Parts: sequence; structure tokens; C-alpha cells
Amino acid sequence: MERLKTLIGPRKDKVEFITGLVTLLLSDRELYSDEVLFRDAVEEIYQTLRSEVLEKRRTGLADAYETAVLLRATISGKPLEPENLLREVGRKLREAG
Amino acid sequence: MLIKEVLTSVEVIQDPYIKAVTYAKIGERLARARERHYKEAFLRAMETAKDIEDPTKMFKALLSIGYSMTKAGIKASKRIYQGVLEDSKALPAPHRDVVMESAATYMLSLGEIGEAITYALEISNPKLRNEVLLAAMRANTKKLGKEGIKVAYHLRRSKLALEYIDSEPYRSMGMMELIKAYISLGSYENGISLISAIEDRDWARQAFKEVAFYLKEKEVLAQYIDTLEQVANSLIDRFGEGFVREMAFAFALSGEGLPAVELVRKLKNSGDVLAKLALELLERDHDVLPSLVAALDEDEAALVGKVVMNRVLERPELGSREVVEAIGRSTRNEEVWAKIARYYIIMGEVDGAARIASLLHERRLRSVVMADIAHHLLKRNEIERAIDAALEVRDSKFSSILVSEILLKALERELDGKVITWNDSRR
Repeated sequence: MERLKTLIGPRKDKVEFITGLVTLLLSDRELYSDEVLFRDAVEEIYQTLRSEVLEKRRTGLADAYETAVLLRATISGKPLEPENLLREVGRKLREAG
Repeated sequence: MLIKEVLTSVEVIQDPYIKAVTYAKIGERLARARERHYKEAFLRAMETAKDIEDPTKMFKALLSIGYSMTKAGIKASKRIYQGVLEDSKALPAPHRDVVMESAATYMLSLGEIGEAITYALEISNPKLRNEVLLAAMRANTKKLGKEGIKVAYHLRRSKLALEYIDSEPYRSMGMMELIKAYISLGSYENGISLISAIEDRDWARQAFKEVAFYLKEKEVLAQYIDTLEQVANSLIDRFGEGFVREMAFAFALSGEGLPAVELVRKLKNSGDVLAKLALELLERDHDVLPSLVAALDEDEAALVGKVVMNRVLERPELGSREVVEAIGRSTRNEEVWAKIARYYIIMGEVDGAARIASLLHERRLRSVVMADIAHHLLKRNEIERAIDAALEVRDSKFSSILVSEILLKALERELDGKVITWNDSRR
């Protein structure tokens, strides 16, 4: 029966999950001080918001998504110098154009 | 003298709520400094609070006063809280909920978890009630982790709170807290087995990851890997095949390649899933990629190696010596090895590339790699070594182009400075 319930039950809101996840990350810093686990959670938050905003067109989440992009970038360890990013933007604009 | 002045000056505050709370805060500080005027401050606080017309605000003021009194070590605060609990029953439900939530929050910050649960249970809105109960559980886990005393008592309180949480996702989140409580007490088996009882798919996955990482940090993951595998399988039974990938990723992320690979092998398209898994790890945390690669069999390793090396060649910044070496060790597939050699050349490590080339049996691949090396050496103006490398290139098409380039380069060096370019401005 439990299987049936999960099959027919409504697909839950993923946003509710990441909202809870954010609270968890903030309240349990010790456990999430593990870099891999923390980055994984941030990736989950980022991916969820990205798909909600881009695929499901939930524009109300755009601000949260933008902040998640920044969060993901700051922990990515990639170089974030403005000039490099600007070049990258230019390259991507040309590709898209 | 100043103390008296401060106390009288509070009168100028217009808002009775702020006035009452201010008196209480003054009382708290005075009591802690053993100043006798603290009693007067608390009395004034109580009097002012009783004058607040809005009953919700009045109760909140009383709670705040009670909080200050407890912090000052005055026992009478219990009576105030008891009074609020009883008298607020006259309020309409939503207003009383606000008061009870606030009481529970004060209790949590005083570390009175049991009391907090009592107030939480008075909340009639189920969502708010569950949230507050969950907050109580979280506070309890923290306490348990820090103090580690009266363990059974603390655990019982967490279980009690969980019993009253009656909707998702709060119940699942509550289960996670209980799991954490067990785990932080070193009761790993109990904690792990509880993961299977989580109803919510996302939280079950998160709990699984948390536990795996905790055990890894405590360096006991290997001992519990079988139990974790059982849990992963029971979750997959419940949430369906789509969960296989997620569980495998959790294992892989915690550095346990073998259980990850074993799970994926149950799927029909296991090769594709392994390749995707590897790419995702490469993108995100390639430190754990070698352990996944090491667990692959020959066919899987060749497939995954190709996919991963293609991505690394597209974006060399994603690669690392550890990842590339792990791939090299996992397969005898020469196509993959040739790609690894190419990676070394991009990184400027010609010797590494040459070492791999010497192991290649397939003529065409060997020619491609040696030609690549010769090219790179030419660019670095190491013409003699370039010639050595070019001699190893058996493929006539490659070798013709190479010899042509080498000859021109050699000539250029000989004639260096003597060649005058048309349109040269220095002419």
C-alpha cells in the first residue's frame, strides 16, 4: 500500500524541500562543514531553483535563483575575476547570437 | 543614583509593551549585578504589562518578562508562564497560537526543551505546531551532541516530540533529527535503520547522505557499508528504480565507489548511468571520482574512461592527475590511453605522454600520439627531440606533414634574423 501511495500521491513541491534544506544547513553547520556534503546540498538548491525558474517559469523564484547562482559560484573554487567573467559573458552571447 | 534615574526615565516610553519589556531587561541586568533595585524594576514591568490593552501583546510582554526573570535566576518566572498558559485560553485560536509559539521559543532559548514541547502542543494550527515541535527536536539534538549527559532522557524527549508531529515533511525532518541524535551518541545501527522509515523521498535521500558522511568523518563508514547498502535497497524498493541513481550518487560522493557501482549494475542501461554518474562527479567533486573508477570492470571502465576523457579534453581544467591516472589504471583500452596522453600533452607533460605512447600496441593510435608529441616539441623549439618522436610515427600521412613542418622549422632557426619579410616596417 505504501508503494501505491507514493505512486498515486501528488508530486510534492521541490521548493518546500530546498526551503527545509536551507534551514537545515544554517542550523547544523557542524555536519555540513564537510565540504563535499555542503557543496552537494548547494547544488541541489541551485538545480531545483534553476529548473523551477527556467522550465516551470516560476518567475517569483528568480531572485532566490540569482542568489543561489552566486552562492554556488563562491564555493566552486573557480576564478571569479570580473574581467574573466565579462569575457565569458561576451563569448556566450556570441555563441547564442 | 544613576540606577534610580534610569528607572524613572523609563516612564517616558510611550509604547506600554516596550516599556514593560525595558523594565524587565533592566531588572535582569540589575539582578545579575546584585543590585537591590531589581525587584522594583520587575514589579514595574509586571504592572505596566497588565495595562496593555491588546491581550496578545500583553501575554507576549509577560512572556518576555518571564524570560528576563529566568535569566536573572528568579524562580517566580515559572508562575508567570503558568499564568500565561491558563489565561490565554480565552484568546481566539490564531492569537493564542502566536502566544504559545512565542512561549515555546523562549523556552528553547532557555534550554527548557520539555517545556517548549508542552507549549508547542497547545498550538492549534497543525503546520505551526509541527514547525515548533521540529525546532524543539533540533534544539534537543544540539544539546545532546554538546552535553552528552542524561542521554536516555534526551532521546525520550526527541521521540516524544516526534510522536506528536503529524504531517509531512515535518515528520521526515523530525526523523532526521532522531537519526542524528542516535548517530551523535555512537548508536550507529539504530540511526542507520531509522533512515528506511522516512516517508519523504527527498529527506530520505538527504538523511542517507548525512549519515554516510558522518560515518566517513568518524572513519567507520567501511564497517557499516553493508547496513547502509541494505537501507539503500529498501529505499529503492519503496521509491522505485529512479532512486537507484540517487543512492548510487550518495555512495559515490562519500567515496564508496564499489557499492555505488553495484547498485547501478541492477539497471538495464547501467553503462549510461555510470557514465553520467562519473561526469557529474567530474564536474562537482572529482576527488571521489577515482574510487568510482576503480570499482568498474573492464568494459565499464573503457566506456566511462572514454566519456570522462572526452570531457576532460574539452575542458582540461576539470581534469587532475589523480582522475586521469585512476582512469589509466582501470582499463587497458588503448583509445582511452591515447586520450590520456593527449591530456598530458595539453598540460605540457611530454614525458608522461611519451611513457603512455611507448605502451600503445595499436599502430594508428601510437602514430597519433607520437605526432602530437612531435608537434608539441616543435612548438617548444626542441627540434632534435621532435625528430626522434616523428621517427616513431608510422602512419605515412601524419609523418609526411610532420617531416615537412620539422624541416621548415629547422630552416627557420638556421636563417633566424636573415629573413626579411615583405612589408616589414623596419625595412
